[in-house]
Order: sequence, then structure tokens, then C-alpha cells
Amino acid sequence: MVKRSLLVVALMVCLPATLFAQYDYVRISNPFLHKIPIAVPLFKPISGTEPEAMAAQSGADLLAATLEFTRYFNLINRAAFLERPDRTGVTLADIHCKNWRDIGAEFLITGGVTVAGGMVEMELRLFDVFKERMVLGKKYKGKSEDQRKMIHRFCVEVMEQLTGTPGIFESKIAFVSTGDGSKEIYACEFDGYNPQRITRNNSINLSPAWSSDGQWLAYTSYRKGGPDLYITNLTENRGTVFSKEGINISPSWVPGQFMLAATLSFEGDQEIYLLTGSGTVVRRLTRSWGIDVSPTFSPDGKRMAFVSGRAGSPQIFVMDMGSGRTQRLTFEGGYNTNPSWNPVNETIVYCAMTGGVFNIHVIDVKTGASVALTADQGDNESPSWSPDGSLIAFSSTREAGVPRIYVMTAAGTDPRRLLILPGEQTGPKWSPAVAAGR
Amino acid sequence: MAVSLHVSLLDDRHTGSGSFAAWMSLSFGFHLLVLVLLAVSGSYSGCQKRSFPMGAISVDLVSLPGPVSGPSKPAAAVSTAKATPAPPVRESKAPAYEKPAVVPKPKAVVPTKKNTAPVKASPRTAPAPAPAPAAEDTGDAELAKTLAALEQKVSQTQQSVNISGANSSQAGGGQGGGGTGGGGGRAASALEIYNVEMGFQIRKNWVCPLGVDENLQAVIAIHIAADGSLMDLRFEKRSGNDTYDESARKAILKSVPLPPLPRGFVLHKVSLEFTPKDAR
Repeated sequence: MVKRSLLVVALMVCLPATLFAQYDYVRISNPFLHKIPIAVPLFKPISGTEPEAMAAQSGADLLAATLEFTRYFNLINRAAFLERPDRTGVTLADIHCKNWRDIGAEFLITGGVTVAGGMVEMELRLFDVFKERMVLGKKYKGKSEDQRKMIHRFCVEVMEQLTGTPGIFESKIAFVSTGDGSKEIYACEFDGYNPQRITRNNSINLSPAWSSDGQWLAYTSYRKGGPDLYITNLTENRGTVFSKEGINISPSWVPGQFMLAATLSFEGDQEIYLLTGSGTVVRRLTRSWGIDVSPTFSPDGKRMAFVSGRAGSPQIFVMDMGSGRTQRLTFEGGYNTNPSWNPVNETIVYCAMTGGVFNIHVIDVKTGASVALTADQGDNESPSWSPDGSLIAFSSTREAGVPRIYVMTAAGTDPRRLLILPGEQTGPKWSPAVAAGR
Repeated sequence: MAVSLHVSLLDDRHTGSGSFAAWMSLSFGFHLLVLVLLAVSGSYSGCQKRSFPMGAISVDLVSLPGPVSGPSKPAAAVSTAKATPAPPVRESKAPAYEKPAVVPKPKAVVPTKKNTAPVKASPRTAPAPAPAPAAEDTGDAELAKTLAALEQKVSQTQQSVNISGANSSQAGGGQGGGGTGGGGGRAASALEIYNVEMGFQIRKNWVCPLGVDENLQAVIAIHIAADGSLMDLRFEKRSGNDTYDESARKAILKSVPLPPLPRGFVLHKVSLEFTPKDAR
């Protein structure tokens, strides 16, 4: 009994000491905020001239809009700012980090602009207002018209710094537009800026596809009557026309190679073939009854997803390029087309028709689990991943029933119209990270 | 002051001879008396500020059935004083779990313990008498060992809460269920509910960039003062992704001040695990 009481007492004595070391464990998961709160105040015109003030305004606005486009950032409304770096100064010594923390910002970008002799010089700084230090500082100098390029360069740096990826700021989006009366291929910058017409043949041009170095564009054109394959260099005036008997459609480049897959029917059935960029058939990839179209490659180029009618209705299949082994990927719904393989992971977006309406779905290649990304917003078709796999461009009839290009996140959130052009815009195709332009 | 008293008791035990137990009982009684006096005088909550290690209070004192509802300070303090004898008994079963080989009864409980640990730690789920036999069998020499085991066990027996969307409310509810040890359960609830509240506040401020690897995991240990201010923050485990780690750190900093600790607690230590994947 003595020992028992002894133990009781002793335990009581030592308990506080033991518990002193105790840590509760709290698991925090499933976050619902995903956009980094960032403040981009107006840039400071260093010498205060009128052109500087204009460049400062347009530069800050463009930077804010560009960052916002990525959907990675939540741009804090300038009306909430507690200080004005455009007046007080743009260096760490001039700003009070607490003022920015208090309005919810995690980061702050300040800019100073000098305009002299037609040249613009911009000093841009990224601050971590929690660590109270500058994490990035760059100076750019160029012609006034190059301001956009400078801002994009800085955005690349910011993205690298904050997300580890360079982002999409030098990418382009090709699409088909009927604005000029015929179906022509256009390309614009990632944010819809500066749409340029690529084809000018007053015919039907479809299915643009970027090579992985961003230098070549392949597409289908009815210029000579039948659907032929055009492979054109975007910076030099050269290219190839692949025009075998039958149809020659739906090109898709193999990642990292000057080769592409396309559907040809010169042997009778519509099958997918592998071609070189100069238009030589390498080998036939599919061998089955029924249509095989719309190839798209995994990031390593070792697998190819495509649409096949072999199951009776259009469904998506995945083929191993080495063994040729093919597996059906989609089982839900009777009409699944337009696959686009995410450039960075194992997901594929595609277009599924249910109830007579087309919607964008995403499917996990490993598990086969699919999720609809659009609903009740007209017809949504032709999805295409951004080069970093964070955004999806697609065409939708959600506004007045006219097909236009929209961009949403990989999770289907934040859909926004990409650009306003006359006519209908369809079939967007996002380029690799860097695309050549005309 | 209280701590120093405890320490001296412990020393006595080691140096004492046959009459040691008698001395201990006397000392224990005296100790109780002092606590009661302190409580009644109403000065207890004031003097405990730094002297009582946080964890001890969280488990022992508030665990009494009475105190939680008691609105007045003195009342709560009295209850804590009364409570003191109970907690050690309860806690003592922890070592019993530790040594299933020595104690036959707890053996059966062992799996239960293990199962509950990862979800919600409630160190006091078993009946009081369990520890005593262990002491009888093992003797003085074994006592130190048992204590060491207890210490280790207690440090392992952490309260664990999941904060993930709808889960947070479940976690809170679950705690009630977890507190099967009667009065002990209530003590757990006070801190566990606090953990849910605090965790949710941090989660609200957590900006986890889109597209990060779902399986990333960062663990940050923090110390929270009674008024909810942050006393310490350090990474226990980094995810390997700096952006992600920073997002977790900022979530905490943005949540300061955290909710004030439940009454009677002066310092709370928490390991916060950040993982994008829903723990459900």
C-alpha cells in the first residue's frame, strides 16, 4: 500500500514536467484559398514628366492584369492601399511592410519609371511584406513599345520566384476565326492580346497544332479541295503540305521531336500515322476498324491518347507508343472527343456530350476518375492546356450562343473570355511556353 | 512555486528511508491544503501564470467535472484543487499501457489506445486502478522506469485534430465522444475545441497555391500564449517546396493573434501539419 501511494504521489509530481513537453497535433488540410494576395500600386514616375506618368500607369495596370490572368494571384484593390509608393518611394526603405500586411497582402510589387529619349527604363521590385525584404529586383530598358515585353519578363521572374514555374507569359494561343468570312487560323498572345491572322487562303482552315519548340504550326486546310495537312514555320517562309489521297487531318506534335501524329485515310480506313515534320510517313500507329482521330501525347511522348469509334461510339483510348498496347480510357457517356493531355501531369481534358450538350471534362489517366469542369453554360468544346498545365483554353457558346474562346483554371474555376473578335472563334490550341510569332 | 514544491517532494522520495511514504502522504496532504487555500483566496489563477507548466494544467486541473461551467475564478480554482488527486491516477494508466507485459489488465486496452491516438488523443480513457498493480509488482527500482515510460508516453500522446473543411466541425464533435473518461474528457474538450477553433482560423488564412503537389507536408511547431499571441514558431518538418512552406508560415502569421487560450491555460504548444490533401 505504501508503494502504491508512493507511486500515486510520484506520478502526480512528475506529471507537470512530463506534460510540459507535450505538443498537440493539429492537421490543417483542404485549403480553400489558392490565390496569393499581392499589391501592385502605381509605378513612380522618377522625374515626374507626363510620358513617365503615363508609362507608370500603363505599366502598373499591365503588370496587375498579367498577374491576375494567371489566376495565381489575388490583386488587392488599390483603393484599399494605406500608402502610395508612387509618391513616397519604391525601395524597401520607403515602404512600411505592416501597411501592406494590414490590407492582407503577402507580396508587394513597386516600380519606378524613367522615360528619356524615347527609351523607357523600369525598375521593378518584388517584396515579401511578411519577411520584410526584397525578393526580386530587376531593371529593364527598351523602347516605349517594348514595355509589354519588359512587364512580361518581370512576370516570368515573379512566377519563378513564387511558384517555381516560369508561367505562360511568352506563350500564344492559336484558334480558328470566321471574322473575315472564311475559317482562318489566328494566333494571339496568352492573354488575348494582339490577335494575328496566320492563314490567308479564304478557305477552311482547322486544327492548329504547335510544335514543342513553338516554331512550327501544323493545321488542316481545304485550300486545295480536300482536307490536307499544312506544316508551316512561323518565323521563316517555309513549310510542307501533306496531301495524300483521302483525308489528312487532326495533327498533333510529339513532345520534344520534329514529328507529329495525324489521321490519314490513304489506305482506306481513317487511322493515325506518325509523320516527320517534313511530311514523310514513319509508321501507322492505329490498326482497328472505325475512325481514329485527335491524337494527343503524354508529356514524355511515350503514350498517345486519341479518339476511336472502335467501341461503337467515339471514346478516348490511350496507346503505349512502344508496345502499341491500347486501353480504353472513357466509359461514361456515349460521346467523348477532343482530348488534350496535360503537359505536366497525368490528366486529360476532353469534350463530352451528355443530354445533347457539350461540356469539358477532365480525367485522371491513372484512375480513370473524371470530373466535369463546365455545366449549364452552353456548348463547351475543344479544350487545350496552357503549357504549365494551370489553365485551359476552350470554346464556348455561353454568351449569346456565339462560339468564343475562354480560359479557365485547371479546376474549372474563373472562366473568362479571352478576346473579342468579329465572327466565331473555335478550336483553341495553346502553344508551348515560348512560341514564335509573325 | 507549485513546481518547486513538486520537485522537493520528488527529491524526498529518493533520499528517504522507511518512513518515506508517511512523509509523502503528509506532504501530499499539505500540498492539497495549500492549493485549496490558494484557490479559496482567489489568488490562484494569478500566481499560476508561469509556475505551472501548461500541459499539466490542461490535463489535470481543468479536467474536473465542476470547473468548466464555474464562472467565477475562485470556483474554478477550487475545483482544480480537488482535481489534483484524480489526474495522476488517470495519467498513471498511461504507463500501464506502455508496459503491457507487466500489467495484464491494460493489455486489452493497448489496441484501443493505439487506435485513438492518431485521431484524437485522450490519455484518460481507462479506469483509475490500473496503474497501482504495476507499482506493486515492480517496486521502487521499477518506479523510475515506469516514470520514464510515462514521460515518453505522455509526450507521444498528443491531441490530434484535423482541420479540413467540413471536417473541422466533425473534429470538434468527435472530441466529445473521445472524452470517455468522464471528467477527463471535459479537459480534453477545452483544448481540443480550442485546437479546432485555432486551426480553422489558420486554415482561413492559408493561401495554398494552385497546382502544388497534394502530398506535400510541412509541420510547424508554435507556442501560443494565453492571450493568443505567438511566442515561438519553428519548422519541425519542411516539405521541400519553399513556396509551400512559406504559405504555411504566413498562414500562421496572418492568424495572429490566435484565439485566447481557454481559461487557466498560460501556454499552449501545438504542432501544425499543413497538407493540401483532404485528410478525410
